[in-house]
Amino acid sequence: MNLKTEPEAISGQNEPKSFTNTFLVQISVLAQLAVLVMIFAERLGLSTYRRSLTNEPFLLTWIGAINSISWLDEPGLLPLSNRIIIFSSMLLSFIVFPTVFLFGWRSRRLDRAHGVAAPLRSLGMGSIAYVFSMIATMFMVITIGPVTVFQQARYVSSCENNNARLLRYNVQHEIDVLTASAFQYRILPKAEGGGGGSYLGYGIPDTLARTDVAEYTAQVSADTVSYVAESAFCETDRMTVKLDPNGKTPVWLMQGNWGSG
Amino acid sequence: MVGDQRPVFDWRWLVVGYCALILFQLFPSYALFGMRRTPVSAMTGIYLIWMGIGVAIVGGYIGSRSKGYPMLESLSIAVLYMLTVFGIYRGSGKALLRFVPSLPLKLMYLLLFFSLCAVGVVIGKIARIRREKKASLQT
Repeated sequence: MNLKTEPEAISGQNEPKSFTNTFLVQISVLAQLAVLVMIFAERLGLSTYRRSLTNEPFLLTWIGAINSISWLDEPGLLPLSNRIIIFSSMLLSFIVFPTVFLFGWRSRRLDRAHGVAAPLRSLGMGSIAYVFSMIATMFMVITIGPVTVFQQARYVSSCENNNARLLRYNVQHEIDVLTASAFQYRILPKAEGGGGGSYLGYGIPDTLARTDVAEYTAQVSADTVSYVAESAFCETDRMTVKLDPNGKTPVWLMQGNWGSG
Repeated sequence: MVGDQRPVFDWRWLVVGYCALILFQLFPSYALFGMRRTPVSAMTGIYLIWMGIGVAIVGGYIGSRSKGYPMLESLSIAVLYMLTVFGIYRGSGKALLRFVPSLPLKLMYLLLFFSLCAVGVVIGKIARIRREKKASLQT
């Protein structure tokens, strides 16, 4: 970006700076790329960031802990102080520092382009914050790749070592609950909100679709429902169960650790 | 002081605000927390607060830097951001397809996002006026 050639408008010291077209195009392209990355990552089912080490969504865990909700009673989670520290450091390194750095950088470029003596260039708090944010941002950009690979390797490793058999029992129990709910739906008359002898229209309730141990999806036809359970800990652990018209589940297909456990 | 001459709708602030939310909140949130593992129920609670904080901060930035009170821009940012969040949820695969908010819920989200953005704008504007007053007193 060559801001020196752009028609920047700094009409007065108290007037807000206007954004150049180049800046707008660049930030738009970056935002579009970010959206595309998110959509494609989800479409392709990339798992790199999918689960945290504690197997809980980070944010909910941290905020839940801060609010002293039931998270504190959960065994195996980190102490509150550790969660606050980790959450704060993430906020700073991923959001605050890059933001300060990018806007500071832009402000300096504009000041330089217009020959304005930049107050940031003096050794004040702003300058220190800018330099510190720049270092933190660079550090994060450089290390995020290796850290991600390391984390993924650790995740795969824990995937192989976790207590697959115990999880499998939990998942089997949850699938029993799901199949019971589906069959109940089937035998209920349509007037009462059921399927009237068909599974069509059945959907996994939101509260049961994603639990601490697995994610569940269902393929529904008139006489059968095929459930697929995917372990919340290890993506290769899958279970496929078919519910027949009589409410029975004769087919249980186990994959990954669940198949060998 | 704060300028009164501003276009009714300054699309530049819309672009900057919306892109800032995508780049500095939505994308880092995705990278950190993984939207797919974010519980659906959280969208109605804590996760929504998290998104709202981002909207308010961007609103504050816009308010402190722009002329006047860019409420139309705030509303547009809230609409676009909400649509993007829901769009990613809708278009991102099996698990997220379960989250289809009803129309009243969508309107509630919109109102909340807009309110937070507008509050941010006003706070940013107040901060700017105070800063300018202080600067003018010094000169």
